[in-house]
Amino acid sequence: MIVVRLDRVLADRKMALGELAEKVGISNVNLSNLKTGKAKAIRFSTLDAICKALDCQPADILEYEENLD
Amino acid sequence: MNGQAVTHKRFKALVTFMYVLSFAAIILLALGLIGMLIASFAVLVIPVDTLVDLIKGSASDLTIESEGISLIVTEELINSVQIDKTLLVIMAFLATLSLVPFLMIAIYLSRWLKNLKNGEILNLKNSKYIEYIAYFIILVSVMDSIMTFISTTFVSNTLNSAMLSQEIVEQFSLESTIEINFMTIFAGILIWIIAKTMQYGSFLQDEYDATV
Repeated sequence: MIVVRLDRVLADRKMALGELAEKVGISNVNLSNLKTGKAKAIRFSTLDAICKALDCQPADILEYEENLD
Repeated sequence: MNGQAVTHKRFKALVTFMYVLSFAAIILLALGLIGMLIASFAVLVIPVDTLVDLIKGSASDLTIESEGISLIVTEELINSVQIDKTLLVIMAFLATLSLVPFLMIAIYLSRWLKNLKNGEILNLKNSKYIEYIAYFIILVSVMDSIMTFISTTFVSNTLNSAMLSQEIVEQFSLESTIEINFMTIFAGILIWIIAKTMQYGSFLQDEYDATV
């Protein structure tokens, strides 16, 4: 399964979730859903905006973990 | 944006109006159901002779006409009629039961319209409500066929037992056959298909809502 490590990158950049949401142009709720793993999919445009705002690579935010179920 | 706002307002206004209508329908159907239930129990409890007396009292000026023949309902005619009480009771309770699908349709319609009013358009609940409406529409058709069969059997039996000439009995008697209204069944199936389409739509909506 894909794990979102947004909180790690946000902590590194010392940026609040709300600030990132404003820069990316999506709501706090949607970004929170992404951070907590509730989102089912992410648009390339959103991923592009997040990487631009955080100055990082997609691999810094998204990680694959084998599902043990 | 202005065009969408107007359409949206009109949609909400129409939905609110329909919701109020459906609510009124629920109240009327519920009252009708209670009335029919009381009447059914009254038919069950009241003796046949009392029923005949009641019919005599209410049918004093009754004339039934059919293709040039007029049948005046006299006291003598009513006295000669043998009312099948079992069939009458079955008819009364079936008539009461036949209101239930209509009431359920009104209830589910009201719930669906309430969700639309609250802005919940494509979700699983709404598609389920429409699916149940489809099932009850099909049930209406089946119950209507059974009701028609029972009532024509009752009228036919009653006329056959009356003090009438064979010619008149043949003129007024009804055939006791089961007729199925395929148009209603077809409409129910179509609505069921629409419900399934909406179910898929709600799945797509969930996918979209869960996409960041």
